[in-house]
Amino acid sequence: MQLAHYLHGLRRFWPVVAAGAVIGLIFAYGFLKLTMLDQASADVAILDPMSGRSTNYNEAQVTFDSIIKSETLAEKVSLVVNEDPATVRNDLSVTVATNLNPNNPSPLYVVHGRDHGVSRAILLVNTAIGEGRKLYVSLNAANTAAYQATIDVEAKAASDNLTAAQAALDDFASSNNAVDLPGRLATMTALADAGSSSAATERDRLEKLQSQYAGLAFAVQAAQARAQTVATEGESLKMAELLPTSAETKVLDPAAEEGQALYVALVYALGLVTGAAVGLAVVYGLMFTGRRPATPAEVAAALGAPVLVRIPKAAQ
Amino acid sequence: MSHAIRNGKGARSAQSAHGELTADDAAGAQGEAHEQAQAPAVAPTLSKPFTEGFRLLALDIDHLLQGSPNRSVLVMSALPKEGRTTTAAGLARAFAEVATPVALVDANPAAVIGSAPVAGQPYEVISPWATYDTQAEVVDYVRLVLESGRSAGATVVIDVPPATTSSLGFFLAPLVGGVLYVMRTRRTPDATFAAAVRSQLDLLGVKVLGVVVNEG
Repeated sequence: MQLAHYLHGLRRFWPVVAAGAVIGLIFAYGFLKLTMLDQASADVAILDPMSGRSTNYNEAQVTFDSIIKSETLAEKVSLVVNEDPATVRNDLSVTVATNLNPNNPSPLYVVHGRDHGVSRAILLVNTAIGEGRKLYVSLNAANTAAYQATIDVEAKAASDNLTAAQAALDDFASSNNAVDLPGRLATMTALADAGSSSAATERDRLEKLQSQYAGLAFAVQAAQARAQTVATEGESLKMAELLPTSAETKVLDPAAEEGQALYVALVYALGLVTGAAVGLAVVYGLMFTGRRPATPAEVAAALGAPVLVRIPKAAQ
Repeated sequence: MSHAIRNGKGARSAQSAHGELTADDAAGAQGEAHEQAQAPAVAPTLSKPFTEGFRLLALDIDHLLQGSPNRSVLVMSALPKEGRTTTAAGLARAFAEVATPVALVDANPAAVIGSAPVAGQPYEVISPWATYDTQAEVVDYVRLVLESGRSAGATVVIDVPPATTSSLGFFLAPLVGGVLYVMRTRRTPDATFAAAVRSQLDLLGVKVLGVVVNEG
């Protein structure tokens, strides 16, 4: 079929195209009527724990968008908004606001909620954000139980070791009359140098005990250092337990109605274009299937010449 | 018609001895030779409007070509089986009644009409494809026939293949006095072919005499 012929058909059947466009608009209206829900959205700023407390945080993270789309959150929210969890999950969505810094680990999430009525949509979004923040905090809090148990064992061992080393030193000192051996040795040395023979004798005795005393004293110092290290690890673990706090999730913009004019315009445009396209196709089909033979007048007009004669059937 | 070639290839009588169109002529309305081969042995009686239509056509064309030294008509159609050969034969027959001499050039390679001389035949049938094999040779030969006919004061009717299957008609059209376009009712699909033919003829500067409507 030539284009000119088709255009001729369009001039003839243009109401079909117009009707297709109108039907497309009607379908778009019906589609919106059946499916369109009021929509609300809120912006939530998340301070990523890795950037907030990067030195002590070692646990795996669950992102806020995953929480918003989770079944757990849907179940919690459904209890508030009186919907089934599947509907809540379907009506909730989350996007990440564009950020000029591609390396920013603390994104701004936009939570969208749809429901029948603006107030219900806002309620849905606010409830989702509230429950989401709780889940975010609880899920991303460090689980220190295992670490704490290990540290407790090490702390007890260090304490026992320190106690044993200190007892050994004390026993050695008391049994050998060598309490504060370094101080007493310095004193006896000074007296011996002054000519005291008894001090010289005591100095010699203490010098014989010095190496064994030094060994026991070092063991005490080592046990003390170990106990201090374990205590420091315990403090660090307690710091990690504090993360993340509610300070890491902040509602930047509370839930408000979200305009859907663009969506509505797109649906109507799609209906219009689709309807018109179907109309054009129908016209093509009409032209293709309903082609009638040309009349002599049409052929004469196309040739710009008159019909000279009509020749009837040859035989009677 | 000194250039006329009389060749027996596909020979078939074009006219009856008493000057009326025969069944063979009329069967040309079916358009093709293979259908002619199945024509009934007993000629049907031709209707008077049929023969009168060609007489009227000959009168019109005679009037349209009045004063023109080139009294030649090319009969063309866009598609096969539109009655082109019937029209050419009928027109030659009718011309023979009003303006002799008349020659019918069967430039259709299907050689529907044939060129065997028939006693009492009022016009001469020339079949160039019986002698020549290429389109260029046929065009040259028809040009000679037309010049010869012009000098003899003859009327020449040329039957050519359909425009959608051969360009021969367009090669010959500028040589003739005018073109007759044949259409068949209930068969010609639409007027776009006619418009395309007209565009091409305009480009060649050819005069379109008119349309023959075949209602057969």
